[in-house]
Amino acid sequence: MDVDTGKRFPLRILLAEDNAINQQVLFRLLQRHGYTADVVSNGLEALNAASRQSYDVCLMDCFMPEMDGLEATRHIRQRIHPCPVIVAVTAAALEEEKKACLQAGMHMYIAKPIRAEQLMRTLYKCWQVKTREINIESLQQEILSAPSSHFNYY
Amino acid sequence: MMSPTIPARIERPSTRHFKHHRMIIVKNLYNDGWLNSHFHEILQLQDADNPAFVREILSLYVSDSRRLINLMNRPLGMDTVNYKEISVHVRGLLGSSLDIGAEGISKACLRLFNGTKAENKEETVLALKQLTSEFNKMKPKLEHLVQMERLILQSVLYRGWNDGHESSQIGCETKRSREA
Repeated sequence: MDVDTGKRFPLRILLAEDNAINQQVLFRLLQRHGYTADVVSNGLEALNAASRQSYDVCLMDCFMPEMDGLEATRHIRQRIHPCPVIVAVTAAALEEEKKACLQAGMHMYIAKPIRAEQLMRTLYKCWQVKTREINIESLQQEILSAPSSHFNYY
Repeated sequence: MMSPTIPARIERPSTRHFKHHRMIIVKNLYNDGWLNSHFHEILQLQDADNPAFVREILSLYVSDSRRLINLMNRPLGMDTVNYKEISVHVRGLLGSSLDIGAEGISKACLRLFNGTKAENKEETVLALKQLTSEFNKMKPKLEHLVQMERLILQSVLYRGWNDGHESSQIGCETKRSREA
């Protein structure tokens, strides 16, 4: 784990996750790599946070109370400019879910359990968007080919 | 005048013993299929800045899992089963189980998730019974691990206090030898 990653590739991160365990694990994973994040517990709070200040990336759980990640994404894409890179974070990685994420306008997708290496690769891509090395819209092409899960269900 | 020899840092026997015991508990949890290799990533998130991380996460996981399983049972008691409500709670438990590497519970969640998707009451009831049974078997093992983490932390903190006490004694001896 490289604690300097956050210094080398700084990003303003918003973490939208309702489950306390997932929140703590993901936040701690970010911390160990030199990042910090603002944490919210539902889509409505994510929308409000994104309206108040600019973020480079939003790690968005798809299923949350009050307003889920998909709806929050739609609102953020309509109202917030420039839009942060929105990364879908979800457990049951079904093909129909990936399509729903794509249709809602999410840019990237990572399946739980989230591995450190995978998270850092994702954040590096967000850094490349921030520095305009790559175009934000080009990220969506990878959603459908993103690995479903590291978890071997059977 | 020779400098006093500072003794090398040696782990207290109690800390070594507790760490060894923890290693055995974790190894058994892996071998019995309760945890998978992802738990190793959780262990790596604990360090000197967050020495109680594993204990806190596991304690939270146990209490939150119990809460979610209780919530899953409620809709099954109604005349019309709200499968969507059950699946929301299953997703929550699946997510946290995946995140800590709780393989057995994750698999049981997936079976239940399939039952709710099919809206099959018999399948859902059976899957929920299996999930509850898996959780009840796993819970004491995780609680044992939490207890071991607590003992390790206490023994390390005690050693830190003791080392501070010993260091101040060495400092006094150094001063006395200089004055001599």
